[in-house]
Amino acid sequence: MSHNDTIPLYQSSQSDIDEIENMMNGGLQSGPGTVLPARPPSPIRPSIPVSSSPFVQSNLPPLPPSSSSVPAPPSLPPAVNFGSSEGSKTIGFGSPPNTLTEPVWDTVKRDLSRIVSNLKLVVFPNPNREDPGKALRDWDLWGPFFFIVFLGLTLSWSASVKKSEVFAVAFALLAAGAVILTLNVLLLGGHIIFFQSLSLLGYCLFPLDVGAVICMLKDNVILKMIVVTVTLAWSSWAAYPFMSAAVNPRRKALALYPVFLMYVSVGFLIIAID
Amino acid sequence: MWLTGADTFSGNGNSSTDEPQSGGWLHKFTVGAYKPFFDVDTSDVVERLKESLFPFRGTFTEKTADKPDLYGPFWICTTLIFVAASIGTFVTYVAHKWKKQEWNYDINLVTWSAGVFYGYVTLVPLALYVVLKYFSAPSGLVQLFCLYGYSLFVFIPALCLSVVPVEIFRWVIAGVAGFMSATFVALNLKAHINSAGERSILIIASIFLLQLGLAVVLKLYLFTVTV
Repeated sequence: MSHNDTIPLYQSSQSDIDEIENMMNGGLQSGPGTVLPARPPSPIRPSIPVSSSPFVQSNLPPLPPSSSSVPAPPSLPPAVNFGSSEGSKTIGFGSPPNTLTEPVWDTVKRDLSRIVSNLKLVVFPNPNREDPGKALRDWDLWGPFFFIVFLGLTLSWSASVKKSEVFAVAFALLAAGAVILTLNVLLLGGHIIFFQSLSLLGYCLFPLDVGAVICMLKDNVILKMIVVTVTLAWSSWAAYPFMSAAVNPRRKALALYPVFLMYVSVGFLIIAID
Repeated sequence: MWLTGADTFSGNGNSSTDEPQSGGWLHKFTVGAYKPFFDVDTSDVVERLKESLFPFRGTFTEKTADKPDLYGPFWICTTLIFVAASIGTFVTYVAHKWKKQEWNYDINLVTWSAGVFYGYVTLVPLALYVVLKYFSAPSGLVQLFCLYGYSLFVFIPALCLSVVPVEIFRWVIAGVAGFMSATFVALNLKAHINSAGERSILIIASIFLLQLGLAVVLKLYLFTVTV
């Protein structure tokens, strides 16, 4: 099956198409782990059509119309693509990031930008807040981990004695608290995804992080109380829509009270450490 | 291989069926096994809390017989830990500041009070359950947890009131709260275990004293300021 308007493919993509074809035709003998040598294109080789019809009538899976941009991810040397399973993913879908060979800065930058965008969604006012499903669809756990550790470290720096115990208690309180709060909602018959909820509770710690840093820099008790109260209210406001939407309305207070309790206890820890 | 293993999915998942034996002992580790104990609304919990403040009615066990909950006990204990740690810290802070001395936050207060409260609400009902079974007047374990958990609620306002730095006042508050809490537990168990014969007086007296003992320990540890 050949098509009229085709463009020649790069050697690497061609070998991947060969591999898929072999897998479909020949069963299990050439799985993703095997290495296939590159072969020159033969006349009956199917190629990516540039024609207007979006459906490819071959034994390949249908390719999207934007497949004309397929010719080879430029960052990959052809030698890498042979037979590797991630190579076969690059067929026909633009150039998705190959997370093993991209520069480290790219990976870090991508994770950082996801953390920032999640933070903006959760903690700052934006139109998507009322819809909890949309709010944190792309949840991750790096952000919460970073915020919890940072809060523990800040409290530990502020403490004048027993620094390591303070860090341990703060970290345990926050981590166990997030897990227990999620379990509480699940037990009350609510509908949330476990890790999405952990992620959200972690992100809502961001205002308390800011408050802890301010309290570490300025040692006035009155200022500390004001700052902690404001950041506590901010954190609770951030967590409220998500938690209250997750349970039956008659049990809303039962689900929200523990969240409030945890943030108040963390706020108290921030004030008390001097 | 997961195509052929579809029939092994029946037992150990988060079962929404009502069979008590599905999955055997592993079922105890799922969230679904404990959902029936959290089947309360806000209004139910508030009513049970109010009930615990009137120890002489003795109707608590009847009201919670069919739907004992574990939400109340767990979160009352957790709140108590937080209140105890914060009030205890605040009291020592104020005392040190008045005497113009160095003060450092004692993080052990949190861990200590966590041990005391969780331990008390877990171990004492367990022991009582065993004792009652021995005397052939069995009570459900969850009902006992529920009873003990709600009985600790009266300590929350008591701890808040103990901030006042007058020693006699603190002892009075501790005494009143301990007495109320102990009476609550004793009266609610009394109707249930009268069938155990003459031993029932012994059991009731001992749990009464135990609860009073808890109040005294709290007062001594949290509010004894060594300045």
